[in-house]
Amino acid sequence: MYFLAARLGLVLAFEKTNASPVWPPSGIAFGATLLLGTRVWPGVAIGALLANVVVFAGNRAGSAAAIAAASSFVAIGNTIEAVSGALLGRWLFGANRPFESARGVFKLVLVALLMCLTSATIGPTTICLAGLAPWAAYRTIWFTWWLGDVAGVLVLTPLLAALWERPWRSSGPLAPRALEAAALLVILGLVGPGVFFGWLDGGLIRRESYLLIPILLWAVFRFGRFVAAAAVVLAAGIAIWGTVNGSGPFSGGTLNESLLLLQAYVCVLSMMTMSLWGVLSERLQSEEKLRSLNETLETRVRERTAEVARANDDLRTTNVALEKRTIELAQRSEEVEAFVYSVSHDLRAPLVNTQGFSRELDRSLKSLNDLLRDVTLPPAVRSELTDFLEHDFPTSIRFIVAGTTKSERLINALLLLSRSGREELHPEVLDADALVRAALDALQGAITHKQAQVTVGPLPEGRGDATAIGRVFSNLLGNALHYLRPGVPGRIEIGGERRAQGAEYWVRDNGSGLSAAAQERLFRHFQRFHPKMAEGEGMGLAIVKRLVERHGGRVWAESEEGKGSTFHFTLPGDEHDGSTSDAAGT
Amino acid sequence: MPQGHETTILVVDDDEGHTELVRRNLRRIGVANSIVTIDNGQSALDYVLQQGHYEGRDASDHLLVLLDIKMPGVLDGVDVLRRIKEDPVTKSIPVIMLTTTDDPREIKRCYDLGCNVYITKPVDSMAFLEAIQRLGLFLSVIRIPPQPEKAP
Repeated sequence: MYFLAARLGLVLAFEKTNASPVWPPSGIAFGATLLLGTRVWPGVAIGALLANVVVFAGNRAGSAAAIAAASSFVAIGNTIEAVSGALLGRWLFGANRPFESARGVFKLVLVALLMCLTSATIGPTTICLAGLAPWAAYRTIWFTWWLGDVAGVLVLTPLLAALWERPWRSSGPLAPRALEAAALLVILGLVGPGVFFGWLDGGLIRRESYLLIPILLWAVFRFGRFVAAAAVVLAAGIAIWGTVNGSGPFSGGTLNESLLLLQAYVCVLSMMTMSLWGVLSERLQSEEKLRSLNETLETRVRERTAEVARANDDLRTTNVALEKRTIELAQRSEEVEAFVYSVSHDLRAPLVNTQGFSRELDRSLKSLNDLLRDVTLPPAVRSELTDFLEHDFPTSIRFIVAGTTKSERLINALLLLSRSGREELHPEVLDADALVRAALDALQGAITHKQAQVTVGPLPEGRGDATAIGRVFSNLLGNALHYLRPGVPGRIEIGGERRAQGAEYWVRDNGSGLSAAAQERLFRHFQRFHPKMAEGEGMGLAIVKRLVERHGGRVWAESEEGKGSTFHFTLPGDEHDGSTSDAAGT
Repeated sequence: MPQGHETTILVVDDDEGHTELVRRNLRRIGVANSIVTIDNGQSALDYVLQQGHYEGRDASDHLLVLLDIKMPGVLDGVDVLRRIKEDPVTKSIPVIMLTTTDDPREIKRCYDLGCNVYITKPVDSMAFLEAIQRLGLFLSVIRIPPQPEKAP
C-alpha cells in the first residue's frame, strides 16, 4: 500500500518535465516514513526505482544499462532520503507533532533541508556518472534537485499529516463554515489562476504572486491545519501549472530562473503557512491549558471556600457555646456572691441579740452585786456567793461576748468581701496621689505609733472606682504597717509607673516579709499571717484581689523573708470598666 | 411625751430579742410609756386599724409605731406602712421605720409611702443600744396626734 502511494506520487512527477520544480514523491515518501514508520522503505525504494526508470526511459537519456544502474542508485538515494528524514525527525521532535508548535515547524523545515541533501547528492552524481546529464550542469541540477525535494516535502507532507489526523471526524457545525470554505475555494480558484495564468497583470512590477498570501493566511486562521495544507497544495499546483506553461510572474527568463523562483515561492508559501499554523496552534494550546487550569482553580477555590466556611461555622458554634459558658459562669458567680451577702446579712441580726443580752446579763449581775452588798450572810455562803458573782458569772459572760464578737467580725469581713464583688463600680480618672494620702491620713495613728517613715513617689493617673481603689490602698498600707518588724525603723514606699495600657502601683515595706509557702496562699480567704491582725480577719488581700481583678488588673507580691515585701497591682486603661460582677473574679 | 395624754408605743418586730432589748433600753433612758409589741404584719395592722382581734380596744391615748420591715407572713413592714398611710383615717399616725436594711432605694420607697422617719438598726450591738437610747430621747421631745376615732 505504501509503495502504491509512492507510485502515485511518482506518476505525478511523470507529468512534469525532467527537472521538476516540486518533487511530490519526496513529500509523500517522507510523509509515509514519518507517519507509518521506517519499515515502509521497501515500498519507497521500489516506487522510486520504477519512477526513475520511467522518467529516464521516457527521456531516452541513455542506454538501458545506464538507465537501470542510475535508476537504482537514485532510488537508493530517495529511500535514504525518506528514511533519514524520518530518523532525523524522530530525533529532533520525537513523538511530538511538529505541526503544533512554531519550534516544531522550524525543526521540520530543518529536517527537510537536511534530508534532501542525501538524495540531492546521490541523484545528480549518479546521473552525471551514468552520462545521463552533463557534468557542467551538475551544480544547477543539484540545486534544483535539492530545492525540488524540499519543496515536495514542505508542500505535501503537511497535507498528508493533516489527512492522517482524519480531520473530517472532529469538525464543528458545518453549515456556516462550509459557506466560508466554499468562498475561500472560489477566491483561490479565481486569484490563483488569475495570477499565474496571466489574467491579472501587474505590469512592469510583477508582484501579483503576493496576492495568494492573504488567502492562505485566511485559510490558516479560520480553518486550521487540513484546509491550510490543502490550500497550499492547491496554490502550489496552480503556480506550477501556470509557470510551467509559460504564464505568470515567474515565467519569462531562463527555465532555471523560473524554476528557482517557483521553487522558492512554493517553499515560502508552505513555510509561512506552516509556521503560522504552528504559532496559532501554540496559542490555542496555551488557551486550552489556561482554561482547564482556570476550571481546576475555580473548583479548588470553591472547595477551599467551602472548607473555610465550614471551619468558620465550627468556630462560630464553639464561640457561641463559649459565650454561653462565660455568661453561665458569671451568673453562677453572682449567685454565690448574692448568697454570701444575704446570709452574712441575716446572720448579724441574731448576733445583736446575743451581744445585747450578754450585756444585759452583765448589768443584772452588777445590780445583783449591789443588792447583795447590803445583805448580811453567813461567811461561808458569802464567800461562795462572791466566787459566783465575781468569777464564774463574769467569766462565762466574758467568753460569750468574746465568741459573739469574733463571729460578728468574721461575718462583717465576709460581708465586705462579697460586697466588693457586688457593688457597682463607677470608673473615673483617679488621682492616685489623693487616694493614697487619704488612706495614710486614716492610718496616721498607727503610723505614728510604729514610728514608720512613709514616702510617696510620683504616681501616674489611673482609671477605676475611687472608693474601691481607695480601699485597696488602705488594705495594702495597713498590711505594710502590720508587718513592720519591731526594733527596725519601718520604711514604707509607695510608687507607681505608667504601663503600655494603664498604670501599675506598688507598696513596699521593709518588714518581716513572707516565706515562700506563705506567698503561695497569699490572696486566699481567711489567711492570716500575723497573729495580731485584728481588722478584716485575713480578708484584706482577698478583697484587694477581687477589687483589682474587677477592674481588669492584676495583683501580685514579691517578698523575701526577713527583708520585706512589695505588693504590686495594675489598673488597665479604658476598656475594662467593672460591673456588678466580672467572670474574671474568683 | 406630751402631758395630759399617754402615748402608747407599738413595736412591730418578729425578733423577740430585739423587741425586749428595745423595751429595756427605752426604759433605761427614761421612756415610761406603755409599750405594746406585735410580731407580725397582719396583727399590727389589725391593732392600728382597730379591727379583727383588736376590735374595740381602748384607743383613748395617742399612738406611735416603731416598724420593722422583715416579718413573716403575708404582709411585711412596707405593706403595713402603705396600708396605714393610705387610709385617711390612720395616715396621721407617726410611723418610724426601725429596720436593718440600709439600701437607699428601700429608704426612698418608705419615705415615698409616707413614713415619718427611717432608722437603720445598727448591727453592732453597742451601736444598736446607743441608737435606741437616742431614739428614746427623741421620742421625749416630739408631739403625737391623738388616735383617730374608729370609723363607723
